[in-house]
Amino acid sequence: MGYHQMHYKTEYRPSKSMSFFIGAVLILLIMNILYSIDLNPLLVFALGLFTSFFTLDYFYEKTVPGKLRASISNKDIRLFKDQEGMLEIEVRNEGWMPILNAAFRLTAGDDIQFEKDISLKTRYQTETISFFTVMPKSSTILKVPFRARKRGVSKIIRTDIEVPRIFGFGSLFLVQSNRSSDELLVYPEQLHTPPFDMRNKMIQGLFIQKKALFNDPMLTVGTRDYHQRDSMRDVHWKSSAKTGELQTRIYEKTTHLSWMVAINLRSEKNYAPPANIEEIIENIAYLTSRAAEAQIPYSVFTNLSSFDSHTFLSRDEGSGGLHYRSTLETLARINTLSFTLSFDRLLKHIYLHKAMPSHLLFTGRTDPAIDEMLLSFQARGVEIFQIDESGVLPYDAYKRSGSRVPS
Amino acid sequence: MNIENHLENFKSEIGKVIVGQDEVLDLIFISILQKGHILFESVPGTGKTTLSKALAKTIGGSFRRIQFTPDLLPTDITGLNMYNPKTHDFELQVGPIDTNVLLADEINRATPRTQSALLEVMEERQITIDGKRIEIADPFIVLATQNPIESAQGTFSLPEAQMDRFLMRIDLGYPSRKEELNMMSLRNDSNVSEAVQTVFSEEMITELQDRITNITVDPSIMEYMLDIIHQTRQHKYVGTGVSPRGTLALMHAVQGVAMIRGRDYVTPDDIKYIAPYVLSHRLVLNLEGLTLSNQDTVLKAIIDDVEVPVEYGVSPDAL
Repeated sequence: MGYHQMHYKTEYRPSKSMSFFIGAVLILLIMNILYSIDLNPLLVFALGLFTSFFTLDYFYEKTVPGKLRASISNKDIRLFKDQEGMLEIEVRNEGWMPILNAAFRLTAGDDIQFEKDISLKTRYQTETISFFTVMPKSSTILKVPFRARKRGVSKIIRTDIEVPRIFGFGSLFLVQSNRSSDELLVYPEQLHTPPFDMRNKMIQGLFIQKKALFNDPMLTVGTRDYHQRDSMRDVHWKSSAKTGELQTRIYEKTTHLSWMVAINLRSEKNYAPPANIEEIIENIAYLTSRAAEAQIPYSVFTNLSSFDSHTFLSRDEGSGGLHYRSTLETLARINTLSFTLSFDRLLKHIYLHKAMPSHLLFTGRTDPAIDEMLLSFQARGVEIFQIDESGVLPYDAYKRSGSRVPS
Repeated sequence: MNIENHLENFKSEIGKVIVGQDEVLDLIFISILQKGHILFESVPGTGKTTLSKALAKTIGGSFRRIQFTPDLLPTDITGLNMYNPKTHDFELQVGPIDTNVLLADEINRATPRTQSALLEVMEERQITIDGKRIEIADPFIVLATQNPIESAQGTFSLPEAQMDRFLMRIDLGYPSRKEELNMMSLRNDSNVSEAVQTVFSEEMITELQDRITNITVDPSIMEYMLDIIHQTRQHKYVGTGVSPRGTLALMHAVQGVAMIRGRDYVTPDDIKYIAPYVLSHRLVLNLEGLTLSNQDTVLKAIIDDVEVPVEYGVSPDAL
């Protein structure tokens, strides 16, 4: 989430009234020269007045744009769908000229909607205008209320400012000279679904900890007498010295419970997302909130192409509130109109490169290729569940594929 | 020597190795005067460790540094009873904790179990090894550094009880463009321990601490502080609010602010200024708070909401 300063430059727009005024003065001047040898004092006065205004106006036009800065002061805006928020924009005038009754136009993506939305023609955008006055060497805060319309990331597309010329006619039009990087995140709603059975598992060979399958070596709960096959690494030397006999550490038992959520963004017949994708995402938002509360570690993968170091848009395994915040951000960033990869390819990638979870929760359609991959997961002891808008249901890949269950 | 001179000396010494950070140095100065522990938290490469080392040098007395790593054990910090095969007896080996200034570098790289070894000493200035109590030198200040939790892999967030023991959490942030330009032109590669001189003796700190206790805190100001504290315990985004230890920390810190501002009384403005540094890290947000907001934003909203005490006849809007 960027804290970005917006800079402005003048966009030239001819002022009709100014052109008319210049024309009128020139005509009067020419007529005066043609009809009389001496200049009319009144005309000289008017000309002087005009020249002063013109010079001041020129100075104003040259000074204001470079000295005007705007930035969103309440950075990191995150809301759930249908929540109302307030965008605070700080406009700072670093120049020596006041800016009176200027209009600040703000355009953003239509994942949010400004309270006073004026966008009529452009699709996928919301636009509003706020008026402000800012004195020299000072700043003002513009408050722009809005409502979160739909899940997604609403980017600030552009801003521009119309400043009335205080020494001339018409207005100065200032357009943003740098690109905006600010964005507002709209999280999905949480679709409450019935809980599903998630027993703690203790599976040999699947736990991430490589040196201890069942024990947590960081948590010593006590000691016992040394047995012949105990590792020397596990000897509690201090206790051994105190008792005069070798003592072995007893570690806390570990349980293996972790979720992996795999979201399939392709529907059955084409590359378009399933019709119920929003409900599924809302369901995942709810399930992961429960996982976050219960401190269950989980990861999220989508078959959406990612252009960073990860092949797929994903959120690595983590737990707790901050991880849930990141998860909601990932869910908000799922663009269903973007380029997707095949779901079985995603599953293969997970199977080859990621640690096995105890539970795999996937969404969307299945086909023989997907079933084959799910079968590989199930063969390694992973419990598989399918998520749809109604909830989470157990999925038996063996039954689906017609394969024999390994003994 | 008056307080302005002390502050100026302190800043000029630190300024030999750190460019800018004027406001941060004010905050650190206040913490030193209150013997408060400081947690420096910012992205890598912003000078946390250099600043901590320079700071440690400005305070007279012994200095020790512990590089926190995932395999560090509590006994590596506090010490242990070590078996001596020659005497057939256990000998007490006190760890690096026995010092005046302790630099706990990258504190969140150690496990919470190891981090917890600092709990007793930070609060009570003593350690207990196998039932034996050992007093730690006075003054004792912990300067800890950590990278933001979200961006770092292989880190362990500090337990709430540990966070509560830090008087202030200071984010160094990036220097301004001008400061960074200055930093580039200085090309300062000098050794911190050689460049920085000690400016505070133990007696000086004691004397300044005595002066701080004379800073007046009006009952209405105390009520204002309590209003803020109580709001932190009731806010919808907060799971656990500021503790009574946090209340005292705020009280001490505002006295420090008044002192460096050359006043012998505290104003609401001092509280508004210092509260984010003293209170925000003590807030434990609930799931909703973590999802939609952060500690700094929640605290700012609370401070904005709480009514500021004013003299009779003055409109609150005028403030």
